[in-house]
Amino acid sequence: MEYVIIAVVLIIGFIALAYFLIRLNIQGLGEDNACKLSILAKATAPNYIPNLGPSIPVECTTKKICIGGTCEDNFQGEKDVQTVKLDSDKFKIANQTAKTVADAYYKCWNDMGRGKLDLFSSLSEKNLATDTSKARCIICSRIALDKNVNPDDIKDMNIRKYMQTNKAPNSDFTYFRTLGLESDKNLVANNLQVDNLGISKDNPRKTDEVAVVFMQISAPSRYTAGKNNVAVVAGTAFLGSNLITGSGFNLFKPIIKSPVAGLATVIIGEITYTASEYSAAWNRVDAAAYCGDYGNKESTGCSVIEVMPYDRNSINSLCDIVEGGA
Amino acid sequence: MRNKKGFLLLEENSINLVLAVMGLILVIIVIVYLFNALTTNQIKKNVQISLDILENKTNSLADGETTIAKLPGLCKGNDCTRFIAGWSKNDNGEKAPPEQYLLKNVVCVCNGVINNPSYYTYMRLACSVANSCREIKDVSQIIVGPDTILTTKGGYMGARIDAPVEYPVINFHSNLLEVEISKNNGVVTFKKKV
Repeated sequence: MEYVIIAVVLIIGFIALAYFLIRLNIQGLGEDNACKLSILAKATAPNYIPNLGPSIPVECTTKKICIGGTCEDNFQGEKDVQTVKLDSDKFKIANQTAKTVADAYYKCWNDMGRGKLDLFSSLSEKNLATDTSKARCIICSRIALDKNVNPDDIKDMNIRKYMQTNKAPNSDFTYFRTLGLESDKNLVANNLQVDNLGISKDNPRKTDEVAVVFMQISAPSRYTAGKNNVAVVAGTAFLGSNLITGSGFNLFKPIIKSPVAGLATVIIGEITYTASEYSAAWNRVDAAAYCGDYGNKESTGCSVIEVMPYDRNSINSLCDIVEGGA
Repeated sequence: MRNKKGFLLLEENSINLVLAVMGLILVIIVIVYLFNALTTNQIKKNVQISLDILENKTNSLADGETTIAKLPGLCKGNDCTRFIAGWSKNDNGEKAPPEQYLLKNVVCVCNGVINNPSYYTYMRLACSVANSCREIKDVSQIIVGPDTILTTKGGYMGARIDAPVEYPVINFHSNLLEVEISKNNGVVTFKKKV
């Protein structure tokens, strides 16, 4: 008799678990896991199998996040839009908004291999001795602010400060520490960006939607190309050990130029001249010089996560190729 | 197995069996979801998302209004042959749409090479694939493009001479594409934002 009771309890438990998983959106969990798996598979594909790495598609879908409403202007016709409900207490709204952006940034960093994976370079893509580098991006998330949100409620938002003082998800450390932004290398990168790119702070572009973009560029120097050849001979997978990780945290400096622009202006504040710097670097078509802006002139590539306006000019000035699902 | 010991053994085994079956079901559910997520063709998915955006943005447009549709990159490596095309319900003859869209106003995202003088035939062929087009209701005409595609204009001493030629389409890129949609007196125009 007791076994019958145990069996019944187990079955009820199973039904409850299955219901919980379905409620938890297992499809979403599946997509997240598929994204991580594809990233891992792509990064660790052995180079001695021609074109294996490039043939593995990036199975990551851009998350669409609307803060404070439905963001119909931004996500009209698009599915799976997540909504962040804002607190009625207007003092909490800035914090909630900062948390949304910080979490999206953190998730992007986590999903894309925490800056440790060389996703888009392989021997075939590097073409051995020829530099055929292109900046490849994955748009991790798009974050829009609903038009009904009062910009005054978020004018004191400081995402940088939020990330310096609050703990990252499932971590005992702050976002900054977890993301490694307190290390010397990244501080240098930050300073370089802030000090060298100061073209104009008075003309920020305005948008009401931003994208959290992961970009990686990798191009072999002659030395690296030689190393690749050695890797072929030795049959060893070569991973871009010279990849450095940059960040766009200076972008979060809260500069509110217009009460209408709200969140976007806050984040765009300094993206304007960041994009200009990208263009300049672009003309050189040189990944090492490009990534030099993030602190290492000798690097053969870099991976960067930026928060930028979701528009053609900004995205395309950073990304030659956008991979993944929209 | 009617004796007490045997009966108990059967029940213990039964519980193990129930546990194993439930564990297996959970594992299968997870595998199926992961498999579905991994095997969905990302570009095909992006094509449908692009069509959703174009259809919804156009249908919600009032007369005299203009909006911008931001569409994802639809290239696979160097294979960049996807384009937006459109037909009006009055198009016929050489300009006729794919058969299934006759007498309809449609906007389409198609895949094919069309850079030759018989481009309407090639457009029709490329867009006749199922789920390539969406109907736009309550409008009188659809205009798409123009956009330029590199087209062979001849040859000289064995070398091809290519030149950009305008076609009534909008080409997708490997990165973000912005399409300006406007509606005036029932005429919907899709134009690449440059």
